[in-house]
Amino acid sequence: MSLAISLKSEFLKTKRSPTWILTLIMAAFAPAFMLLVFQEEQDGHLSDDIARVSKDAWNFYHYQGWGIISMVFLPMFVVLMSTLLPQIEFRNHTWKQVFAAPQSLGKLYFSKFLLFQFFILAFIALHIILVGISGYFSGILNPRFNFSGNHLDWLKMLMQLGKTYVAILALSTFQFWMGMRFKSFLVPIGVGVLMSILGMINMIGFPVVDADKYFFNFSGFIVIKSNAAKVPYVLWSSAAYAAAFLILGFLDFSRIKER
Amino acid sequence: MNDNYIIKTTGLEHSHAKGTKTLTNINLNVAKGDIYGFLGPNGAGKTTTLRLLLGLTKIQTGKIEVFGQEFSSNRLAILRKVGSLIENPSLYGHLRAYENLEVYREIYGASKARVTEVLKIVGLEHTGKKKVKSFSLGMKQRLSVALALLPNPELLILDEPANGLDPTGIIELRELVKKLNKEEGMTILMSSHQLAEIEKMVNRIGIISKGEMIFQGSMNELKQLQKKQSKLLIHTSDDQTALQVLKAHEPELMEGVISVSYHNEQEIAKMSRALYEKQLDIYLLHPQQNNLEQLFMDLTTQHA
Repeated sequence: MSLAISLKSEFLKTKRSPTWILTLIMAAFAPAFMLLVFQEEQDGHLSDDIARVSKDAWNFYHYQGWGIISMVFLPMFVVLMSTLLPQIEFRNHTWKQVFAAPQSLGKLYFSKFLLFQFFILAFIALHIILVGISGYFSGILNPRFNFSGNHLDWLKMLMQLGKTYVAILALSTFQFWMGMRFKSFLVPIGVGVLMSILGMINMIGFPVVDADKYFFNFSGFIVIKSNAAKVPYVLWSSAAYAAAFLILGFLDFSRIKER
Repeated sequence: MNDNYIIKTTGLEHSHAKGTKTLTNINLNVAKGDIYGFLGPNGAGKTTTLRLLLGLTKIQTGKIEVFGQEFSSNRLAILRKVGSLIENPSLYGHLRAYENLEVYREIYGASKARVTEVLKIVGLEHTGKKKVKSFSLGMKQRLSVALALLPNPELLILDEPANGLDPTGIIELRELVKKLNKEEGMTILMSSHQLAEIEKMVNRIGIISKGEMIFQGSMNELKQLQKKQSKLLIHTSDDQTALQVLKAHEPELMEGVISVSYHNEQEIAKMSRALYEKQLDIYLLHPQQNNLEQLFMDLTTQHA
């Protein structure tokens, strides 16, 4: 039996589950927020945004969206989704049937991991589409932003979002391990949210540990312009953390005595 | 050794907590073509044994062979030929009946036609768009049976499959089990805590109590044991003399009543005649109703 069959089975389980709507809602937050915030007029006065936005409207708009999701919404989405996917089994008491089916533990674990990664990529893809829609309407509502006179640097945008994906890998594999490990959804969500908030405080306000080693906030770290020189190191670190967590998570998963 | 054994466990032991044994020396033998009833009161160790057989609980001590192969090293090959229902229904509430089976269809290498077929077998082919979370417990149980049948298994393991079924559902299940055994040649191992529920369909039986097998054999062997354990209660005008008269039957005097073993009604008549010939007045001559259910109760309570 191939990994594709296990993956297909995992996809079928998400049908009509809250996973799809969560992905859409979380991806829509930043574009909706930007549509509301970027306005020509605020409190009856012309906003400062006009000068900034109109020079390079689409790239500026994308950059703001990229910053918002990398700092807040993507890590939160990863924490929630990594919990929600295993909860499909825990809440329905279906683990025993899954383990009594003829599929290897490796295929089972990695098909669930790949499904999780699919949702992260779907979040990013939806974000791109929704930022485009948000920008289009922002251009109609605010003609002075000059969206029609500017073009998006697609390559640069994809490179930046690609880096964000690599930077979130460490957090996503760690949270995936936690989500699979604990029956109670409170543990993975609690750990993920608390450590992300502490990391944000550490990165922006009160540094205690080196932010380039604290994987919970890697995706936010790479957005800050002053960290540009450390970005390659952080991306390699994220990949290394991810590999380690994936292996440790699988070893832990395959050694559970009662299923 | 019987080479036809589909399931053979040797010295299976298990402890959930240190020092507390859940199973002790379980030697379960299920032959090809058997409908094997695995009986025991709640908490006796039935589900733990079945979980071990499916690899849901790791083996601590002992050996499990299924289809003549050691389980741990042949897990996937064995599970391909096994359908199972363990404890409560294990279904995705947000999916429909058909979709629940579709999740496992390709894993078992079953065809789409097989999905429709098993839904028809359990009478759930017309549930349409209804989600499983709105099913009754009985419907969920039937869908779980359909899931167990999906791979057209050689071995079917059902843990208390009658739970949640109404009397009609129980009768239908009984007929289905017999049919699968007879027509498809499936070997079936099913657990229950009620002998009456399964005695009409099984040909072999294993009784477990407090983690130990206290009986294993055919239904005929169980019935023989039942006969051996049948008692006749007697009370006469002179019980001490009666004890002498019935000496050959190894009588026991308990709380003013004599208890003797008997095998058939002719023996009762013979004992009655012997007492009468000694001019004893017989106040009580009561063959104790020791049916299989009573025997099961006696066996499990004696062991407890």
